[in-house]
Order: sequence, then C-alpha cells, then structure tokens
Amino acid sequence: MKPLHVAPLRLPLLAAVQVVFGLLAHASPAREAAVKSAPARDPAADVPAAVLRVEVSVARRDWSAPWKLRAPESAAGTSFAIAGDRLLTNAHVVRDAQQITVKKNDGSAPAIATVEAADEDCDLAVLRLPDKTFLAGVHPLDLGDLPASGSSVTIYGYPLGGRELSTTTGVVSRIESQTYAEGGTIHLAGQTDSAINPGNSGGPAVQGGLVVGVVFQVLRAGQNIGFFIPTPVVRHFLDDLSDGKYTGFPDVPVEVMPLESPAARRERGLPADRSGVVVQEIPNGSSFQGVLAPDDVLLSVDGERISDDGTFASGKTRLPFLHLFDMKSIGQAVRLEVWREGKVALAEWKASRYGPWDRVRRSRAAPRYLVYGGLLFLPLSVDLLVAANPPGDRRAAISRAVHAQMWAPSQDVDREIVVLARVLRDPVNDGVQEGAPVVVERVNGQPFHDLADLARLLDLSQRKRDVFQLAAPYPDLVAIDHDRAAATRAAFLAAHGIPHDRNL
Amino acid sequence: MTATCRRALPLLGALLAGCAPAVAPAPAAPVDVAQSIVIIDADGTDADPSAPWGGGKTWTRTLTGLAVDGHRILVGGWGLHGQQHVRAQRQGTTAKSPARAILVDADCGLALLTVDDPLFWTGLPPAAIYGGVARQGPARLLHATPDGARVDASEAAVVGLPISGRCNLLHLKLGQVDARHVVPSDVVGSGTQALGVVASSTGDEVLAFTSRTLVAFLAEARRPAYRGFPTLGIHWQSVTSPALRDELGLAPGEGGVRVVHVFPLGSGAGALVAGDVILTIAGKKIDGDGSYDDPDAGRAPFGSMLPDSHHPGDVVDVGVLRDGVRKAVGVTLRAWPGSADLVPWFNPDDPAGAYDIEGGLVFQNLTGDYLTRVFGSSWGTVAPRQLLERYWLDRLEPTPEEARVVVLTRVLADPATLGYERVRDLVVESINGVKPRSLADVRGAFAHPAGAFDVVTFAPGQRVHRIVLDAREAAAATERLRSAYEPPKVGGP
Repeated sequence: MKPLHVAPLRLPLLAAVQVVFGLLAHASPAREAAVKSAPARDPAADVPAAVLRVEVSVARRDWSAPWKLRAPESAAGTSFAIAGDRLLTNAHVVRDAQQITVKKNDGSAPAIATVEAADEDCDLAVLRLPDKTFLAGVHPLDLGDLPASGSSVTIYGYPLGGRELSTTTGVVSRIESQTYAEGGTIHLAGQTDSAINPGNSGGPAVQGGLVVGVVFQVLRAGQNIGFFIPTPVVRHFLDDLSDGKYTGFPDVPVEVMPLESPAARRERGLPADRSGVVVQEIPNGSSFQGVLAPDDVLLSVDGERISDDGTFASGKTRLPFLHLFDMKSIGQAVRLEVWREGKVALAEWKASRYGPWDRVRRSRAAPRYLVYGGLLFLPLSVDLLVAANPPGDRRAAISRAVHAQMWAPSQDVDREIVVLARVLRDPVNDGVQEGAPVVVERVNGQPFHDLADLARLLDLSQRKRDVFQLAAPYPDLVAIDHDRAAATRAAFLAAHGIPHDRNL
Repeated sequence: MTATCRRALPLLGALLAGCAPAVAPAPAAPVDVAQSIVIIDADGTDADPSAPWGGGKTWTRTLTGLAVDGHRILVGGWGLHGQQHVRAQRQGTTAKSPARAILVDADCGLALLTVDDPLFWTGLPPAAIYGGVARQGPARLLHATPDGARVDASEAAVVGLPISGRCNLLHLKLGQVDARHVVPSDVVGSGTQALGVVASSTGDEVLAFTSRTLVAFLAEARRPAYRGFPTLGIHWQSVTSPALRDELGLAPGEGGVRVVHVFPLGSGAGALVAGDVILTIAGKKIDGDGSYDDPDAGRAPFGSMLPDSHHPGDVVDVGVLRDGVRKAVGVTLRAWPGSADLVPWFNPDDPAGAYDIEGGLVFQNLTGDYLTRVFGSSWGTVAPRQLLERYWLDRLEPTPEEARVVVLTRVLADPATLGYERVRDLVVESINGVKPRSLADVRGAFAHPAGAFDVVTFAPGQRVHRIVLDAREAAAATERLRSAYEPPKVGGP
C-alpha cells in the first residue's frame, strides 16, 4: 500500500525510521557453529537450524556516474528457510548485491545464493540456492497468523556483537501501519520491544515455531522500538510470486481523514449508526478518480465496516482500514460503500499502481541515464534525491515538480520527470554552470514524455544547437552545439570511462 | 594667540570669543578608530512562533558600536532585532547611558542609535570611515567586551569581496580569523579608519559591510525619509557558454547576462522581461559571468552596482538584447523591503509574532522565523513540504490576492475542535469561502460562517483539504481559548 499519509518523497520520515541493514564489519574470522540439531518434529526446535546468516558483497550505484559501481563493501543480515527450498530475507539486505553467501548455523561451509525475487516496496526478497542439497535436513519454517498485541515473540538473527545465532525475546507491542523505510511506503507492521540490531534484518519473528513476521527496521529515536513485517504482508508477497508474474502491492492514491469531529458528522448528516473516514483529496490520474470524491465518507471496503478512527475489526484486534486495500492484488476489484450527499452510494475500485509514485520509487533495475554533450540526465527517483541531497531551494523545486504533476490541473501524470543531474566537464559544454540536480522542462522548445523521448528528440534534432530549458523557478537555458557533441561523443565517453551514452 | 584659541575652543567658539583665526582650521588630528568604539548592551525578546500568544525568549547581548558623526552610533548585523532596551557605554567607564534606535534597516542589517545625554559624547571622537572599498590586505577586528568595558583587537585580512544579503551589497570577506570569536557588529579597522562592520559570522566565514556601504548608509540616514538600497529585482543566469551565446545572438566580447525571471515588485518589473540579455547598466558593461568593473573594488558582481552607487527613485539605463534587437530601457529603481515579501523572514507587522485564534484554530502568517524557530536547525529538511515550497519558491512573489501565506499552524484542544487535534501547518486556501489575503483577513472570514458551520479549506496536496467546525461552538471556543492562552491585558480602565 502506498503513501496515504506519507508522501513518497517525504525524506525526513525516511530518515527517522532507520533501516537495520546490518553493515557488519568482518572483524573476526568465522568460527565453527556450536548449535545442536533439534528433534525434527518440534516446530519450535526446527527454528534455529532454519535461520541462516547472509553475507553480501555490496557494490552500490553511484548516482553521479550511474554506469559504474562503487567499491564493494561487506554487509550481513539474516534469512530463513521457507517452503520450496528458498530463503526469505529483506530486500534491503540484498540490494546492490554482487554476491550473496548464506551460512547455516551448523558449521558447514557457506553457499552461494541468488535473488529470485525482491520488492523494495514491502522490503522482502526470496533467495534461491543453486546447490539444491544445501538445505537438505533443514525444515522450512511455516507462516503463522497475525500475532496478538501483548503476546510473546522471539527474534532470531545474526546481529552485531558476534557471529553465532542470536535469540531475543519480547512482546508484540502493537500492530499498525508504518512507513517502510526501504521503499518509503506504508504497510502493516508489527512492533516489538525485543532487542533488534544491525544484522537482524531478514530474520524471523517466531511464536510457537511459526513465523509471525520478518524483522526489518527499528526506530532509532525511541527505545526498544523494532518492527517486523507481519505475515499478511509476507503472504501477499509470496502469493504474488507464485504464478511467476509479480505485480506488487496496489497504490492507494487518495487522502482521507478520520471522522472524529462531531461537527463534520453533523454537516454531512451522517446517521449515528454509520461511521467511516472522510475523503480529502484525490490526485490527478488516481485510480480513485471517478470512484470516490472529496467529502465522501468511506463507510466500508468489501463489506468491512470502517470506524470513525479509520480502523476495522479483524478478529479480536483492530487494524488500519488501509490494510484492506493493501491486501488486494493488482487488477482486483474492490467494493466500496460511501456516504455521499446524504445517502449511501456504492462504488467499485480496481487495485492498480499509481504512475507518479511508481516512477520514483526504489528499484533494483540498473540505473537509467542519458549522457549528451557531457550533460548527465536521470529520471527523478527517491534514490537520486537522497543521494544528491540538493540544497533547500533545489529540493523544493524538485518536490514542486512532483507534486504539481499530482495536483495541478491538466498535468500529464504519465510524464516522467527528468533532471539534469550534473555536468561532466568537456570543451563541448564549456561555460555551462554546474548546479545541483534540476528538472528539465523542455528540449528545443518541446516537452518530452520521458528519458527515452528526450534521447529520441536529441537524436532527431536538426538544430545547430540543442537548447534545454530548466524548470521554474530558475528556468535557465543550457545550450550544446549539436554537431560538436556528435563529433566528440566517442572521445568524450572514452575519456570519462562511460561504456554507453545511455541506458534508457 | 590665535593658535591657542584654536586649540582651546572649537572654531565657532573661537570666533565668538574674538579670536579670529589667522589661518584655516586644521582638521582634527586623526585618532585610532578603536577610540570611537562604544559598548552596546541590549535586552530584547525573540518571538516564539510555536506559542505566539505569550512572550518570547528574552536575551541580553553585547554589541560593538561605532560612534560616527552627528552623535550617532552605527551597529551592524541583526543584533538589535527585537530589542527592547538598549544602553551605550564608553570604554573604561562603568556608566551605561540609555540609547534609542533612530534608524533600523532590518533588510540590510544596519542600524543607528543615539544617546540623548550630551555628556556621553564629550571627548568621543566620531570614527573616520574610509570612502572606498578595502581590497585584499591586513585589517584589525575590533570587538567591544563588557568585561572592563574595553575593546579587544585581533588581526584579520580581507581576502575577497563577495556579494551577500538581500540588499545585494558587496561585502568584505575576512580571512585569517577565528569566526567563532567574531560576532556581527564588530568593527573592521585599519589604523585611523574604519574599513567595515561585520554583518555575519557563520561557520568559517566572516562577512563585513564595506566602508563604502557604511558611508552611503550614513548619508542616506540623514535624509528626512530613508529610502534603503535599490535592487534590480530579477533572477539571472550567466552566459559564459559559447553555445548559449551563439544561441542568444551575442557578438564576441559583448558580455551580457540572461534575465530568467522578473519579480513583480522589483525595479525591473514593467521594464525588463524574462529572456532579455542585460548588456550594460548605467553605461557599464556587464560581462557574461555577471561581473563588471567597479571603480573601487575592481571586478565585482554586477548586482552590487545599484545598491552601492544608486538610490531608490533613480532611473538607470539598462542596455538589453531583446528579441534580437539591442535597445536601452529605463529602469526606475526601487528598494524591496522585507515587509513586501510573500514569506518575509520575520513578521514585520509584529515582531512578537502575529497570530489569530479562531474556534480553536491558530492561524499565522508564514515567515522564515516560524520555520527556523518551530522546526529547529534542520528546518530545511524537516519542515512540511508545503511550507518549504512556499518559502523557497514563492517568497518574492506576492500577488494582489496573496500578500502573505496564511497557515493553520496548530489546533488547540477544545470540544469545538474534537477530531482535528493533529492537524497542523497547512496552507489555508479559504475560510468560509473567502481567500485570506493575509492573517488580517482571518477574523473577518470567521465572522461570516457558511450557514451553521465554519469551513476551512486548504491548498491541494497537503493531505487535508477541508475541515468543518460548528460555528456556534467555534465562536464560544474562540472566547474560551483566547482567555485561556492569551495573557490578560494590563493597564487601568
């Protein structure tokens, strides 16, 4: 489920929720594990053997030179065996991995693993082992249900402080929506007071031998506030994978507000036996356009009645109603009941992704870029914005470009926002000012649809000079001599060690 | 004897005494500029925008003052912003004389004080101020300290002449100095002359107003109506790229910078247009990198030309290349006070922080002061996006419909606001169907509810679009909360 209360570019919140990505220094050599195998029929006893250490050689991308990798670093996390001879871990544990090795807790040699699937949105990844025998004798862990608040939970993993399997025990503090720092999106999350530290990421939270969650992040600002991905979210991810065509979680591009104001209830004439949340805003191109309208009161989702605080009853607990949308598959129809203009109305929503969010979210794909006349153009993304950390005015200009697409009338929501990320010095761009990333509005007077369209317009240009107009509030012009850029392209790319001028 | 008369009395006194001078009077012997320094002791209050109904945080600070002609004391920087009581103290004395501000230019950061007690001025030499701009070279930093009422001196050097501040003034950049021990208003001197006054000291950079700026300010301050410093009121880009120069049709060696945006209240409005290439200003050539030949400072940013050599009301010829045609346009210069900004740095209407409580909703004008004081040192990243965008991108763009950005900054807990307690920092679009032009319109808008309800709407993209209060409950809450939060009015009937 995508940001309902948190915008995808809201970086401070991302920063506040620290990901436990377990950058563990390999300070000491591996030691023989000393864990005895347990009787196979006791599910709780199966757990230690099924929890594997993950060691990753990470080579991160460099936004300022997206065709190359940075110097590799070592990182570590946790994974656990699931059905189908696979391992489950966090997406952030294996992001930018050049090599992944997994190590059982029995002293055996590590094995190479590969990423079968990963989704930064829900921060989950499935690993596959080329060595089919490696997991022989390891009993895969089964998924349990959503744990009850206040129930005991045990966290297994390989956090800093040692190399052996670590277990810590705490309670499930609460279950509610949280921003997943890796993707900047919102899903259901379990909170625990159990000690969670770097290296725990990807490890199982276990109750009675069943996995009730996957540990993924902590809130550094608090004390003993760790989070795990609860099983409904994990199941959605795994079920989505099962047909070999992963589509992900739907976006929910609508803003709502709890209906806790008596005045707001009276104004709408809402009967006392009705409850729900008030629709506030629906952005351009949202799948809710024509389905919901501002000031609607959303009463129920697929028959689940929403209370005025935005929760619904799920067994003995109450969960945020957003979870109802989150558990849908892309393309799935959802029945909505709304209070509109003094009466109940029915509507149907089809779960889908939302372009303006989809385009900027974190991705595992090789970075897309275009180099022309020494100018480096990149599609706008959360990663770019984090890495570039532009000064306040430039950051504001970029965020306005994103939000204008969502909120200004008559905007093309399918248009990809492209930024001039940097200027690679060369005589062809002599005199062009180096600046922080800035949105490119037009080329040769024409708007363009995406990075590929920009490249196409430049390829087809018959102009003597290609002129780029940057976006307001600083709509500078940048000009590049077309023929000269073409004539010096090969030499320029060679001089800067750029293998290709584009990855579109 | 005449010589004795001259030494003993000022010229006028000598004439009255019948001591006709045999020769023209010699100028006063030059004295060390440090002797013109006085200690300024100020108390004041910083507004607390997070709780604007109460007093703010009080402060006491010591500033370096420079006695200048006309029984005036020059103070630099923004150290007197929010001042309530100011006292001046001569070096080596214990007495502090009440001082009062006679002119504060809060935009440029220069102020003048005076002391009404004539005894304060006896024997206090007005500083001699260098008429030009000190270029690179050694200087002394003079800092008044209350400890023993003395002046501390340290060595420094002028290492550059950057342009800085909203008034686009040329500044002395000081090097070879520990910025941690330099504060605004410290004096830059060299022997018998003042070369500048420190404007800001941040990180490892110390910037000081040039002596040329000080001379201009002191002269301007003598006018019946202070006019401030003019600016052109544009955004521009350099045109150093040969390809862009060719594209714009500039001839080799012609110079020129491209106008990117003309601010509606700036001098350039109505005369310059976006896309113009400025070739000359007042007959002086502007190079592609934005520099020009300053007679005092050498190569200097062209933006400093107008404030340092012209006044508001002057008309200057600006040579432009527009649509392929070279032409001269007359630009009537204006100052642009911070009070005219859409998002001013502080609230010029009320330094204590203007606000309005209506039905439990707290409204304030968006200011830079609000952002920094409410969201702290990381305000640039932690403040809400909608506020940052208005500050960074719109602050110089007031319109007839929007003189200030009105923000619902917080909701006070009350039965009338039940359900809205977590709403805060939203840019207001309308109140009961009326778009408030500034905070001043808020109260009037609540006087005319939409039927039985007060309806507040917010600009798109803030997650909350509309909130509703029961108008009767809101009116009662207004009285209830004002009496609870606002301090009682003091004074007799």
